[in-house]
Amino acid sequence: MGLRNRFTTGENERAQQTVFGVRKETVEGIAWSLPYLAVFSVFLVWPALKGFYMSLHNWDPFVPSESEFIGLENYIELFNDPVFWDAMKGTIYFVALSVPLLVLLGLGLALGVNKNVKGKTVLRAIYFSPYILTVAVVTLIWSEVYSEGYGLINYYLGFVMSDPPGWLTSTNLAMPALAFMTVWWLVGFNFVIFLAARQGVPERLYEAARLDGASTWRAFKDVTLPQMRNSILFVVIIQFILQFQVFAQPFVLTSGGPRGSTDTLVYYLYRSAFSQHQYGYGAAIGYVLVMILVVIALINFKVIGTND
Amino acid sequence: MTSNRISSKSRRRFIKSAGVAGTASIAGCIGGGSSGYTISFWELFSGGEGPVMEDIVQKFNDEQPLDVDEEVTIDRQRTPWDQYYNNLYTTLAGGSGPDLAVMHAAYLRAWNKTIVPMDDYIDTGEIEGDYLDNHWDLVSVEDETRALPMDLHPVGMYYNKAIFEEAGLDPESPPTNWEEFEAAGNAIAEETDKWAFSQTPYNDGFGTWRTWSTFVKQQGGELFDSDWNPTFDGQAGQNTSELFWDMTGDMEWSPQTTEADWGANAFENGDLGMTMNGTWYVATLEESDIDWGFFKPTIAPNKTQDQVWTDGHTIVMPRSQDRDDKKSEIAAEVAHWLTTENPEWGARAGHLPAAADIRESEVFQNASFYDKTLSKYLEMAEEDMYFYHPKVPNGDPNSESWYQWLLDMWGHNYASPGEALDDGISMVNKGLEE
Amino acid sequence: MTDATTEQTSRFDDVSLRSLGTHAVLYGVALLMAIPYLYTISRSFQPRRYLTDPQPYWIPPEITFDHYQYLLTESLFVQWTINTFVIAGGATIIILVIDSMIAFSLTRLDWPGQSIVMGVILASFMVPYYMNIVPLYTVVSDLGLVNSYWGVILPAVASPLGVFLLYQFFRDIPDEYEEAARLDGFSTFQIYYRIILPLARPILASLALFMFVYNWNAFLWPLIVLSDESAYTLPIGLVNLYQGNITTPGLHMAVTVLASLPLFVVYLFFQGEIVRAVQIQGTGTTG
Repeated sequence: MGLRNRFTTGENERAQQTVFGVRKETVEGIAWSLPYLAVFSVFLVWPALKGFYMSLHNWDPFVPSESEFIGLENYIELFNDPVFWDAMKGTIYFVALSVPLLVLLGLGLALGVNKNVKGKTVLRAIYFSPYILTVAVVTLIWSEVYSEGYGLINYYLGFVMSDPPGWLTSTNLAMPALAFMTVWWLVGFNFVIFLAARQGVPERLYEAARLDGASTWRAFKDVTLPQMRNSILFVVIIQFILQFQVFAQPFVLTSGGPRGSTDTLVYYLYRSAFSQHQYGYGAAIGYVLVMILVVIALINFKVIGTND
Repeated sequence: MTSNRISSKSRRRFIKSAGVAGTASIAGCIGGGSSGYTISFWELFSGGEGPVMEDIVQKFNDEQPLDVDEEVTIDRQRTPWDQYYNNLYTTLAGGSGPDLAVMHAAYLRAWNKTIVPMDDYIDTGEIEGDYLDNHWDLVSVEDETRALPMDLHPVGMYYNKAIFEEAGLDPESPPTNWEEFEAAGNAIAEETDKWAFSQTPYNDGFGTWRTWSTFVKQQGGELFDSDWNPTFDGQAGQNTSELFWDMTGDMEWSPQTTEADWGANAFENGDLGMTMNGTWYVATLEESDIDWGFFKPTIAPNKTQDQVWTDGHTIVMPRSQDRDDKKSEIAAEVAHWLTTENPEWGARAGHLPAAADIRESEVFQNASFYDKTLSKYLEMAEEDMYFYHPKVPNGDPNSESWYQWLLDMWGHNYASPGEALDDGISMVNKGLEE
Repeated sequence: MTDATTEQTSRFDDVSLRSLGTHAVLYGVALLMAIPYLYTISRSFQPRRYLTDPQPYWIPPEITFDHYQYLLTESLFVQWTINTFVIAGGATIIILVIDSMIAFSLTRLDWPGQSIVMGVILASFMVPYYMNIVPLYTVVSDLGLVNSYWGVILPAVASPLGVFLLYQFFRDIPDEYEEAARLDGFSTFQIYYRIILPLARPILASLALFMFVYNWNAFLWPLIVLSDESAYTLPIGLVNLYQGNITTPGLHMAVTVLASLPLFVVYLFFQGEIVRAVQIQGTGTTG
C-alpha cells in the first residue's frame, strides 16, 4: 500500500497546519477512520481476541469473571472427542463433494457462455439467480424435491425402481444431497467471476496461439488457464472457506443426521455453545477452524500460485 | 452448587432489605404515574396451543384481574420450540431475561441457576391448595417451589377409525393390552395398504423417547438410577429396542424412515393407522378431516405396571438484576393467575390443567374432545399412572442430541438395536456432563 | 461442385453441430436449475390435497390463494419483512457511509499508522465469520443488544469487505482531481463529498446491492441474537414456519415465493450491479 508522496505546494501548506500541535491532516485522517474502526474493534477484533481467552477457560456465562482457567484443556478434550472428529470428517466430505463441482461447473458454464451463444443474458440471469436466495429458502425448496415419500425425485424414480432411496434419510446419500443442493445454490457466484475473467483475456493471445497451430485444448491450457489464474485462485480459496463453514443446510434439513452423517464443524460449534452451553469449548472449535482455514489458504496459494 | 446456597427464607429477607434502596430509585421510572407495570413473558407454544395462550394474555390485559392499584400489562414473546431453550438460556446468562417464562418441569433442577424460586415473592403456603397435589410436587424441587405448575401433558394413542374398519377391526373398541394392540397392528399391516403405527408423528428423537420410555417403564424398567446415571439399557430397554427395531423391520408396521414429520403427514392423509403423541395433538386433529379415536397407551408387551410418560408446563421467574421486589411480586401474581384462572388451557389446548377447580369447571368438561381424550387422560391421572420426564441435574433434557439414537434405531441406521442402545447411553452421559 | 465447397460445408456442419451441442448443454443446465423454482411456484398455488398427493402436479389442477392470504394476514410475515428491510437497509447505509469514510482517509489523507490500520483490516479477512459467534454473542449481550436491530446491524457493519473494495477503488483515482480541488480551496469534506463519492458512484451502487442481498439473507447470526418471534428476519421466520409442529407444505412454498420476491425484483432491476460487485471481488477489476 505505501504512503503517497505529495509534491504540490497546496499539499505542503496543508500538511503544515496543526491542531494543538498535531498535524491537521493526521487529526482528520484519524477522525475519518474512527466510525468504522470503532465498530470494527468492538464487533470483530475484540471478539476474536476474547474468543481465544474464552477457549482457555471453563466459561461460566453467568459470572464470566469466575470462569476457571484450564489452559489448553478444551483443545485436548476436543482432539479426544469422537463427535468432533465425526463433524470434521463430515465437513471434509462436504467440501470434497461441493468445492470441485462448484469450481468446475462454474468454469465450464462460463467458458460455454463466452462462446457465440444466443441468449447470453437469459442464461446468465438463470445461472446466477439462485445465489440471491437465502439459505432458508433453498432448504425449503429442496426438502420438497428430496422428500422420501412425497418428493419430486422419488416420484419419477418410482417408475424405474421399486424402492427409491431416502435422499436426506440415508447415511450414504444425505451429505451428497446437501452438497448437490449447495452447488445449485452457489455455482452462479463462481460463474459470473469466471465469465468476467474470461472476457478479460485479450483475444490476440488466442489469435497468436491459433497462428502457432495450437489445438483448442492447448489454447485452453496455455492461454485461458494462466490468464485466469488469479480468479481461479480467488474462487477456490473463497469456496474452501465458505464451504468449510457449512451450517444451515444440515441445521434445517437433517439436524446432522442420520446417525451424524451430516454433522459439520460449525454445526457442532453452534450446538456446543448455544445448546450445551459450553462457551469455552465452542470458542475452541472456532479457533481450530481458523487454523484449518489458514492452512488451506496457504496450500492453495502454493499449488495454484499467482501471476505476480 | 446446592451446598453453598443460602436458604430461600434468608435469601428472601436479604433481597427484601437490599431491595429498599433499589425500589426507591426504580419506582420513579417504572411504578410511577399511571404507566403501571409491564411483565415480559416468554413462551414457546405453537400449533393449536399458540392462539389459546395469545387469547389468555389478551384477556388478562383487557380485564386487569389482579387486585393491585397499578395497571399491569403482560408483554408476551413467543419463541418457537426448536429455538426456545437455546435462546432462553443464552438470554438469561446475559442477564437480560424476561420477568416470567414457560419452562418444562424437567428443567427445574438443571436450570436452577437461571431462576428465582417462587417462594421468594408469593406466599406458596397459601396458594398451594389451588393446585392438585401431583402438580405441586412437580414444581417442588430441593425444598423450593421453583415454579408454578400449569399443566401435565402426557402421551396417548391416537388411531384412524376408517383404517380400523378397513382392517376388519371394531373402530369403537380399540386395543387395551399388548395382544390386542399387536393383533390390530398386524391386521392393518396385512389387510390394508396403510401403515400400522408410527412411534411419534414428528419422527424425531425426543418424540420417540416419549413412546419408548413409556414402553420401558411398563415393563418394569428403570431410566436413570438415583445418582442420575442413565440405566435405560437394562432388560426392559433391550426388549423395547428390539420391538421398535422389528416394527420397522419384520413386522412392517412402519417404513424404515427418519424423515421428519413422516407420521404427521401419513396420519393426516389417512395413510397411518395408529400413532402415539401428547395431549396437544387434539388441536391439530380437530382441524383435520380424519375420523379419529383415542386409547390409553398401556399396551406394552410383558407389562408389569401401568406407566405413561408425562411432563408439565410450568411458569418460572428468571433471575434478573434490574427487577425490583414489587415487580417480582406482581409477576408472581400474574403467574398465579395464568395457571389457575384459565380453563381454556385444557378445553382448547387439550392439556390437563394444574389448578384444582378447573377440572370441575363447565368450560373444561364441555370441551369438544372431553370424552375422547381428556376424560381418559384424567382417569390415568387418578390411577396414578404417570411418570415424569426426568428432572436431570445437568444439561438440556429436551435436547435432540440426547435422543437422536432412538430415531436412528427406528430407521435401522445401526447394525443392531443393541448398538443403538450403547450409543444412547453415551450420548445421554455426554449431555449430562455440561 | 468442387472439393473446396464440400469441405467448407462439412466444416460448417461440424461447427454448427458443436454450437448446437453447446446450446443444448447450456440450456439444459438452465432448465435443470429452473425446475425447483417452477415446481415451488406451482405448488404455492395448490390446495392441500394436491400437495400431499405423492404425484406431483406441475400445472395446478385448481388454484388457491389461501396460503398467501394466510401468510399476509395470520402470520408475522409482514413484520418479518419489515424487520429484514430495516436490518439489511440500515446495515447497508451505515456500511456505505463509514466504509467510504475510512477508505477515503486511508487513501486520500496522509497520516502516520495508516498502513498498520489497513494491514489489520486486511488480516481480519482471515477471521472466518463463524469463529467469532461465541465471543461475539457475549459482547453483544453485555451491551444489551440481544433481541434488537442493532444487535444484528453492528456486527454486519464490522465486515471489512466494503473497506477493502473501496480502498482499492479510491487508491486508483488520479491525484489531479483532488489537487485541483485543493487549489480551489475545497475542504476535506468537500473533496470527499463532491469529488470522490461521485467518481465512486458505480462501485458504491454495486457494494450497496451486494451488502443488501448479503444481509437480507444472513442466517446464523440473526438466529442466535433474535429470540422474539416478532423480531425475526425473514430467513429465521421461514425456518420456524417449517419446523413448527403442523405440516403445511403449501405454506412453506408460498412463504418461499413471497420471501424471495423482493430480492428477485431487486435482482431484475440491478442485475448488472450485483454481478459486478461479485466480479470485482473475484477479478480485482471494475470491468
